[in-house]
Amino acid sequence: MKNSDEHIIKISDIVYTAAILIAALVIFALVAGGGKGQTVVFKLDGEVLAELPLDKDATYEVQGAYTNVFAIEGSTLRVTETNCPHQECQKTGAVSAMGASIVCAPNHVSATITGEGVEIDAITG
Amino acid sequence: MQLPADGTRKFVFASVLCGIALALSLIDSAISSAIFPLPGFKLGLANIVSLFAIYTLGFSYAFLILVVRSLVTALLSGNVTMLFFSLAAGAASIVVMWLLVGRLSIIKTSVTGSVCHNAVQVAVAMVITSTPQVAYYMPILIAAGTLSGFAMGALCTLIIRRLKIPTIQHPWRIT
Amino acid sequence: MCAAIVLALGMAGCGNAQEQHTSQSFVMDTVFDQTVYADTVLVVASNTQLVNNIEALMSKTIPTSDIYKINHSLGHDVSVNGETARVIRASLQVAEQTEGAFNPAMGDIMQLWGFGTESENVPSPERIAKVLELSDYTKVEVKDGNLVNSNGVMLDLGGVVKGYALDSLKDNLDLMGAGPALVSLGGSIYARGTKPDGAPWTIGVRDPFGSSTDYMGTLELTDMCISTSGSYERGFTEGGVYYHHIIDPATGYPAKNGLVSVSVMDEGGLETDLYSTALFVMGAEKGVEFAQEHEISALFITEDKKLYKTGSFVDDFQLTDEGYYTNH
Repeated sequence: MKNSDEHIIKISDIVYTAAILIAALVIFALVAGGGKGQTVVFKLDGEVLAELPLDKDATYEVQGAYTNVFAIEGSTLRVTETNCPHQECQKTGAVSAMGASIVCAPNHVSATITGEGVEIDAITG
Repeated sequence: MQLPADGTRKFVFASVLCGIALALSLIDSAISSAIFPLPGFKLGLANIVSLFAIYTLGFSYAFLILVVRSLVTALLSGNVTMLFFSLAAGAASIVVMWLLVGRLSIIKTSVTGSVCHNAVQVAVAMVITSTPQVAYYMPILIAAGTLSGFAMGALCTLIIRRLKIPTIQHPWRIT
Repeated sequence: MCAAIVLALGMAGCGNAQEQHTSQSFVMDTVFDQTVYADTVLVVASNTQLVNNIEALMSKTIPTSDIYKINHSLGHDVSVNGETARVIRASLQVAEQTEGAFNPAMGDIMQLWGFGTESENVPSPERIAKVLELSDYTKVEVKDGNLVNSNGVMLDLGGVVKGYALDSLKDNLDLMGAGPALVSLGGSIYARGTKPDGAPWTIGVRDPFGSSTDYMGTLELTDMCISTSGSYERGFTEGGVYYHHIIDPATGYPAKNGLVSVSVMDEGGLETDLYSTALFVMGAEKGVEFAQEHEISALFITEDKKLYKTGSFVDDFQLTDEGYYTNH
């Protein structure tokens, strides 16, 4: 039987609850930072050409006024080959963060990492 | 307040608790459907009754109250999925809390029970919808559950102490 | 406590005017999936009934169907349902337009190959040559008053019946005042309106090199139909060689032109089904030319993963799988 002299809320209660709360928030921070389901959206002249998953190694070639060859490797995106004037896009190096993008201005090409996946309602075929 | 010791009175007391649990559960559904995208997900407000029942009536009654309020709530809301969530989460919560009674304070027991309740809800949701992504809700739900568990535990402690309701003897209670 | 219960019950009563109804059934030898937002669940049942009715009219195996009667009429006029007559007429028109690439008179040939039955086998060249003579669609006459005379030719509407069903479903949904809907009949899809949250229906194009749930690209469709003819459906392997079911009416053998799938989208379901078959038979080169000439939106996929797009596919199709490269 509990003692009526004791406080209703003890310090150990607060500590216990706080510990769990912190643990939950820490887990949240770790998981949210990982950014799953990331997709690379390739655009030419503002029109979406393709959306490729970031976690599958692949190469993608875009042909506009110039040619850019993108490579998705180890969940990072970079330009491996290009014949545009200053190769700024290639100099950008590898990106992997959500929202990061590589742009080739002369070619009107952009490749952006977004968090959305593609959801479909039905498949034809 | 004298807690009735014999069977009939205990049953009546349990029924009253059941009614309270039901009301809380329905309010919970109404609120939760506005907050959570998945129908059937609940905050777990009615767990305060489960907690209370474990201390004053014992495991069997607590479980009985859980089953009855889950069934009736699900029937009234017309949502069968809710039944799975309520039963699974509620049962896990009751078992965990039952084991902790006497070893930890009411508040700590309540918090642990809430965490358990929400963790099980997320797990069930992941299985039912076959989307592991539901796990993203886990941390935020646990945080919310922790806070509500704390509040409920405090309230429960207050009621039991002030009203001097005798708590039953659990086999392993040290105090 | 009573107040709490009343409050909760009251809140449960509020909702959308149109509810989502889904159903899955098996008809026309394939899966029929529907998701319809309507006032009553009867819409779904009526849709299922409708598709069953079409099958009852146009199946070549059901003894009481119009097509069966025509095929066993020994050169006499047969009175058929107005719908059947319409479908046959449309098929014949497209047959002429595509110079036989689509041919509704392949009953004999398809029976010889026996796709999907226990007797599927590779027929001998002699037998194929023989039945080729019997697949002359020009012999089929549709006369006034819904009279059809096949003059000994055997009809098979397998390549058009699903597309036609889409059109009928559209009319039925209009009639019943249904809201947005997505119906899929063996891969032929009609996307009606936009989803309740305002987003368009997103359709995936099956990856011919993957399983039935893998897709290699997506399209957003609103009030549109789409059908796909693929070599991965209904085929069989004999002697280590795979034979698919899209027979080239000119040769009597499965069309071998390097294509593995063709998808066509259009407002009319019948058109999507007819042309997806025809374009597949034509092959990439002639197919693309034909599609561009007749303003047909089509997607061609070759066995070496090359894509050809015409019409709306050029702008609207979004590739989601690496390994495919595009030539416009």
